[in-house]
Amino acid sequence: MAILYVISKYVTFFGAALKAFWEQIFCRIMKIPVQDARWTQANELCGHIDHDFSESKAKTFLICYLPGMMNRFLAYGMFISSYIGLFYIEVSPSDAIFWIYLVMFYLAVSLLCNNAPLYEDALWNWDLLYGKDQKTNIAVKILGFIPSAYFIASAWLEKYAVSLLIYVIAALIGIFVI
Amino acid sequence: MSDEKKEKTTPETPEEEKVDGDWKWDAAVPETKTDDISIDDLSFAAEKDDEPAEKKEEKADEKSVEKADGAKKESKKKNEGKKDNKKSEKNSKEEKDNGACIICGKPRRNSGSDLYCADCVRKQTRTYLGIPQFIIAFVMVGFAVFGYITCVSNIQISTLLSKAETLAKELRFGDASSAIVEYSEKVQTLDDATDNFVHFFNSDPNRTPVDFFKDGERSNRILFESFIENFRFDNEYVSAYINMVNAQYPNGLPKSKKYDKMRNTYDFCLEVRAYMNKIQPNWYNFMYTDEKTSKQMIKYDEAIAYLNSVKAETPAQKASDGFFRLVAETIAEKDSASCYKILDNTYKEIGEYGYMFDLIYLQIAWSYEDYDKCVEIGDRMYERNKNDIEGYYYAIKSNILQGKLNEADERCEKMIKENPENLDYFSVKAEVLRRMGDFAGSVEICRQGIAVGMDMQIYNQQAISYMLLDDKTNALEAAKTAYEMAVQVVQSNEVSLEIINTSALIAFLCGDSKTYDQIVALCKDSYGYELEDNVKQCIKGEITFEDIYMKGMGDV
Repeated sequence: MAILYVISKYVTFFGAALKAFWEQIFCRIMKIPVQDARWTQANELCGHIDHDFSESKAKTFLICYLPGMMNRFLAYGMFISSYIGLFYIEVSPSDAIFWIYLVMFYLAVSLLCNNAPLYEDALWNWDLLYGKDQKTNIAVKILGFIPSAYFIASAWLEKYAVSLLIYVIAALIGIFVI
Repeated sequence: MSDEKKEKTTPETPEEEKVDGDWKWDAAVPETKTDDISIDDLSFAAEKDDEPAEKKEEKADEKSVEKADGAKKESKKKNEGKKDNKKSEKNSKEEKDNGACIICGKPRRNSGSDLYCADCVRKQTRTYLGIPQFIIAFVMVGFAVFGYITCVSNIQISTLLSKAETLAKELRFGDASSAIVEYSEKVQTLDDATDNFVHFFNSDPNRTPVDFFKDGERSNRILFESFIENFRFDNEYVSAYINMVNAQYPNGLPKSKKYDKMRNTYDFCLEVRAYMNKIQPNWYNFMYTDEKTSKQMIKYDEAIAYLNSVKAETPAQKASDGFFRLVAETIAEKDSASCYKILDNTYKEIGEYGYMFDLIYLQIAWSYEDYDKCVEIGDRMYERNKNDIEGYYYAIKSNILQGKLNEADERCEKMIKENPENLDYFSVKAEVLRRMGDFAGSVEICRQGIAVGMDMQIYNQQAISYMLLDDKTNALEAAKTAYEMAVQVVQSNEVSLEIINTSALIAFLCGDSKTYDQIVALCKDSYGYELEDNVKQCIKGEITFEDIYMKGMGDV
């Protein structure tokens, strides 16, 4: 399945590049050592950088959350705008705005397909918060539950390129259903 | 990388840590499958080894500097420790608790969760960011800003589009068209705003105005389909539709299924136009004007024989054929049965386009005073298009003339429920209430209607109700207003003359001879028209006002 993952990352090149960029930036800010910054290699690290696990719950959570959040933040406006423009308003290909929306849609999808942390990072975050021997504050456990579960779910979806498939389906729904 | 780390960490690892077994091996060396290491990875490592001697020397220098720095720090710490024994004890406790840096063995950073010393962290958090990534980031941020701006505007305009779509689904095609007009205006506003923004940077007066935001195909479809649902079979509608499609789609309609209805209607209209162009030149030969009566006449038998000779095969041709036959029947003043026969036959032949003949059918039924048929067709038109009030208005009028006032009242309520802004409701409801004998209620509903919008029919009904309440002052005022509006807005002779007759009668009965004379003079000079017979009879005192407006047709 790694090949699917790698293909999805290369297809969504801009999002993958930016995700790795944010990961490096946040690793630097939070002083988490980076082991391997080659984000284009054709394996599970594609679109990510290899950084050390942190023993700090906050750092682990933030390194899972922030890079993806940056990508999502950049993507939402473009995605909603282009989706409405292309599939609801149905601008014609003879208009220049159609092609702008098309580029925006691709960029938005490429960003949204790269919003999850590395699967191992997501599991490590879960283990730190909900592991057997972890003494985590109950409030933190409650507040962190949804995002932590989202990290694992989204990382899993990305691992098997399902996230890209979801957006392809969304586009098909836009073309044939809406 | 992991091999390098082992080489570095193993000799420098403090003995205590090994014995205690507290070492975070997983954190230091993540579980890496050695099976997956490829030749590329090895070559990457080899590349590092093959670094030029100069670089190695530089690195060695850096290391020596760093070591010197570390030594300085250690000595500083020792000095501090000497100064304060308690503090050094505390430090040594922390060292025991936290362990040393897993890479070099030096003291870790202050944070309890860190496994590294400050120097190692500084080295390893060096990022490997390239210029392309910064460029991508900047471009993305630019697109994102643009995305948010267009997102807000697209949400605004799509709300209006959604409203139009919902109205079309509710078969309120008139309202849907109005919503699309509102939508287009909003799109234009956005374009104007964009143009002003561009003008800020480029104030060239010869610059082409920005046409950035577009109405899109969905709004076109709603607009065209609303037009189709309101289609009347006549030359004007056929030409208007063909011209609209040609203007919007110069390269032809798209082949998608979504356009089937538009395309089929377009083909239908093209065929109708071709057939009419073929028939019309000869058709005028059968028409003539009677010199005595100045009435338009037709050589009926010749016209029908000509139509029989031209074979109509397709639905569009049959629709056109039926239309010409109806014209012949009407001009020749044939009986209703023959007209109905032609209409029913045309309905049957043209199938889905039969509705285009509804209004013609209704007008013929009305002229033959076939009120049951009027109600049937009016209902049918209303069910097809809830904003097609014309048919429903005739249905209510028919109910009134049939004396089915409760049924008429129910239809009025249904009409206002689905067309809350329609002014016809107030005039027709006022008439129903008047016929029921509720004159005050009739005046009140007219007052409500006037608050919603100015309409001459409402003033006309109010004037009649005031007269029946014997309130001549208000009746005259309302009648004058209705007359002034009728003169200004001559929608059709039928409507305006009805109001003119009523206004003249009320002016006469209220003793306003000046207004009465003015109306009579206008009728003669402008229209060559005299007041209706029942108005004249009423003026002579042969019949009463109630005879006309409470017992009779109400149309004068």
